[in-house]
Amino acid sequence: MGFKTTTEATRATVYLDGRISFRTYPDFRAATLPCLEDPAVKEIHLDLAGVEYLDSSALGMVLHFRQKAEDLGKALALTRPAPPIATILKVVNFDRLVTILP
Amino acid sequence: MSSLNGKSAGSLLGTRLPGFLRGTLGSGGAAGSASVLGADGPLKPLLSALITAQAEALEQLAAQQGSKLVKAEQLMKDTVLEFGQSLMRLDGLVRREYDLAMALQQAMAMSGEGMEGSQSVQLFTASILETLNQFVQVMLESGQSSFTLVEETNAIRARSSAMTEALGELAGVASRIQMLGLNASIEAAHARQYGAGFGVVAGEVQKLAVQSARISDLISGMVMETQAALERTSLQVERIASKDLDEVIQSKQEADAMAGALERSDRQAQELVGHLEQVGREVRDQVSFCLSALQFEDLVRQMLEDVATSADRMASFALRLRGLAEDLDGDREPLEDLLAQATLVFTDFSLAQRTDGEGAAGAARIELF
Repeated sequence: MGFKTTTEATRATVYLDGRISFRTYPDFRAATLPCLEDPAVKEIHLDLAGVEYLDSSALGMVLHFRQKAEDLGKALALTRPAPPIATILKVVNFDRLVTILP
Repeated sequence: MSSLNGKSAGSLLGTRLPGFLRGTLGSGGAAGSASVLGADGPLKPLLSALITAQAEALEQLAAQQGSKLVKAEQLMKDTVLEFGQSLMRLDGLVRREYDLAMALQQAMAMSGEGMEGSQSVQLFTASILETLNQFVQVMLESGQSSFTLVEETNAIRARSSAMTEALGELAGVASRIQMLGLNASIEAAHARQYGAGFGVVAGEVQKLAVQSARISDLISGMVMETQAALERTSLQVERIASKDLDEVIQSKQEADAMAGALERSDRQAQELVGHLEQVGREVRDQVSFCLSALQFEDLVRQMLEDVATSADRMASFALRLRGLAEDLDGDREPLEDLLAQATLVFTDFSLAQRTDGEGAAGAARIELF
């Protein structure tokens, strides 16, 4: 399905939506790879406003992406999670691993 | 019991008698006073009337004391009744305290041996949350590792595809070599005996081409098996990495609910202890009240004895006064003796009245246990 990506100055935003799972990885990788490869991008936001569901593989995918971003000196943040998604992130203590912005 | 006995008499009666009588009736009075009190003395009617009035006053006081006696008796009965009720309340409180202590003991036993209930609850809750957090951490690390594995698998898959492509080219080369060997064999046949040696070489080339094609097919098959294994691995990785978080969330919520229930239980145990302390304070209050009631009962009993004695003495004295008033022709000695006694009785009675009026402050003259 593909995810929309925008870049503004040094910040790139990837707008995720729908159900994020293991099978979403190709689309996720395709959307985020340019952000990793663009040296001008220093900050990457994953916008979760349109996300309806996350499974554990999606969280692993985000952590895997965070590691790659940090290796390249880029900061990662999750933004605008809907209440059910925020509950999942809170239950798994994700706020201790990744910056979460309302 | 009463401290009235042995007290020095005051002069109450003296203060109430006219001055001329005090001088006349006092001990060792003037010698001429006998004629004043004689059978034909001018003061006889006055003295008779005075004594009669005093007798009536004494009777009235005795009646009042009797009334007070009845009231005091009723007060003592009420006090004893209240005392009994207080004892029953005390009994109820003690039973209640026992039940609460048993309940608290059971709650403590359930919370854990050898430690405070709240401490046990906190440790248990911390243990549950720690376990859940460890589970979540493992799950996340597993998910992250899965995608590292996916990346590696994708790289292997890409290399396998390149190998398959190279093997395809190798198969084409082998086919062409075989065709070349076949053509060379044909050309060698055309050259008859001159091409015999070349025909042998062409045959070997054909054999090598066949062998190369077989090896290429073998490698191609192995690559296909590798790719199939990669696909199976990818499915396994997906299965491992893809865990529905609903179960985790449900477990966490159940753990939170359990922790909440334990905390509520602990809080209730604390409240139970507080309630127990309150019951203890009430028991102490009731015991204090019972002691006060006993002290008051003893005080009232002593006062009743005192009042009864005073009333008896006043009644007796009134009778004697009446007798004396009827026969004033007698000697002066009995009258003086009687007046001295009257002074003593009135002094005692006055003190008793003051004690009755001053309440607890006057109770200093009453011996308490």
